[in-house]
Amino acid sequence: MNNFLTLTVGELQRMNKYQILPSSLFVVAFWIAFLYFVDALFINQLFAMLIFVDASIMSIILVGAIMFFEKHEGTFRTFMVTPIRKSDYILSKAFAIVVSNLITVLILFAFAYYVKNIEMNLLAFVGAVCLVGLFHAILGFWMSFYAKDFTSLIMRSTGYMLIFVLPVILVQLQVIQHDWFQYILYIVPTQASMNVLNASAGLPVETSELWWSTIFLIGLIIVIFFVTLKKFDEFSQKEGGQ
Amino acid sequence: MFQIHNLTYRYPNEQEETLREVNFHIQEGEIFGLLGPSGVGKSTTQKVLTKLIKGYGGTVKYKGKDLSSYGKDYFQDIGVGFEMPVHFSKLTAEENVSFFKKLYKNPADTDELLKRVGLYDDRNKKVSSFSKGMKARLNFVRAMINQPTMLFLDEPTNGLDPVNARIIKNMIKEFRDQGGTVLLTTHLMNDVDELCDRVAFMANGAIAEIDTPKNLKLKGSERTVTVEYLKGDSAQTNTFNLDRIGSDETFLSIIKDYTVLTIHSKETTLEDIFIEMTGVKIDE
Repeated sequence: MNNFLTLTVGELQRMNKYQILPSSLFVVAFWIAFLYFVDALFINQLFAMLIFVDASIMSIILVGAIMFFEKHEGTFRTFMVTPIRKSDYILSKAFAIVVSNLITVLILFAFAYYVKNIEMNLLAFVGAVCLVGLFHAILGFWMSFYAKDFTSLIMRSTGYMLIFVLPVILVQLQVIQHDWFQYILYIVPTQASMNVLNASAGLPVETSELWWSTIFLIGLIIVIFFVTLKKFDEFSQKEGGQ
Repeated sequence: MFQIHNLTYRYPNEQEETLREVNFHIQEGEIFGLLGPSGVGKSTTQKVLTKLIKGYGGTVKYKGKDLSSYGKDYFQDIGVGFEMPVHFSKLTAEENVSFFKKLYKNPADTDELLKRVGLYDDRNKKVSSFSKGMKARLNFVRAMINQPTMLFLDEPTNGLDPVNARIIKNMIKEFRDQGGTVLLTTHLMNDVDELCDRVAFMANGAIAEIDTPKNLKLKGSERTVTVEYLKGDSAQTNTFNLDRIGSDETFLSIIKDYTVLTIHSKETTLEDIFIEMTGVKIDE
């Protein structure tokens, strides 16, 4: 087993032991209870929105929790004297979060299919969640560099939610309907995330918009990954060496 | 093994340099002790050598090559034992060890290591239930997990009872005897005296003195012997020069005619040297 796979499997094992994965599943159970009482007509729209919240803001918080456990227990230091690439260290955590996002998708998908008799394109959802989850997990990693403690990360995540997530949800729920506002959202990663998830749920998204959103997200993943990689040296010196 | 030449380092946001032209070398197959009071730069030096700190001045060579030229494979070669616990507390000892073991090309027999340090029977317990001493022993296992050739140990016997401290010290000596090299940082002078082949005292970010523990003690010795003996009902004390002790009539008469209570040479202890070199008491 190569080191990346070892790190990812180890991450998932620890997410389970540290109750991060069970907590995430508890939230899914809550959503299922909520969806149970929703009319089948609105399921697709809500389905995309719930997955959006899970893969965006939850990913940021989960990766933040992992980082703070490692800092608190000193294990971050021991990773820094282990023969692993820093890219493996970052990506293994991000991929573990994506796996957690995919588990959420599978559970919700099974609920929609078997309980509500609604068919959606699972493969499209898997692809969309990989993009949205990966971007936000790496973003969460980067945000944790600047957070002094977990409370500070929660504050930053709340700021991100208010500025980037909430407006997208309000547009999704058609509370905000101004055209100019929707144009602004074209350059917002959360709107691109919502678009790819909406398209996966079978909601109307123009092809050009879907292409733009997909390419935009891939570009953002590459940019945030290299920005995080660059900042990682400074962070590891601070946490491991000072 | 290591050649450190004019090593300097200043932490970001600090006005003064923590390391100021540190010079020393570590020979292959020796236990090298790095001593000094807190904040003097010994941990910083160790962090430079374990590549936890970059952006230092001067040169650090490992096996003849510049340290900065080594990539992640450097960590296949070294083992690092931290002073503080570095384990996933909600995982068992076995889970911790198994996880890190898989990241190395040449892993050690960890069952054997756990047995040696007395943790094998507790291997399936969560680390959070471990005592301070058990965590320290698991730290040592973690450091040895890749069969390193170079071992960095920071206070390896801290928090251990005498029996377990003896086990760890024996393992460190065995590691050295099998060709391994050790950089040991500790405040425990007994450990230094027993384990180290050479010792460097650090003061104010530089090396103040380097020598073998024996030479250091001899350098500071007074070359005298003090005899306490019973004369009548009272205890008397006399001090004699060691150099002419065999022909000193008074000394010979005391040991012949009186009951000797104690007899001590005035050999300096490493603790005395530590205080003299650094100007700081051990527990500071």
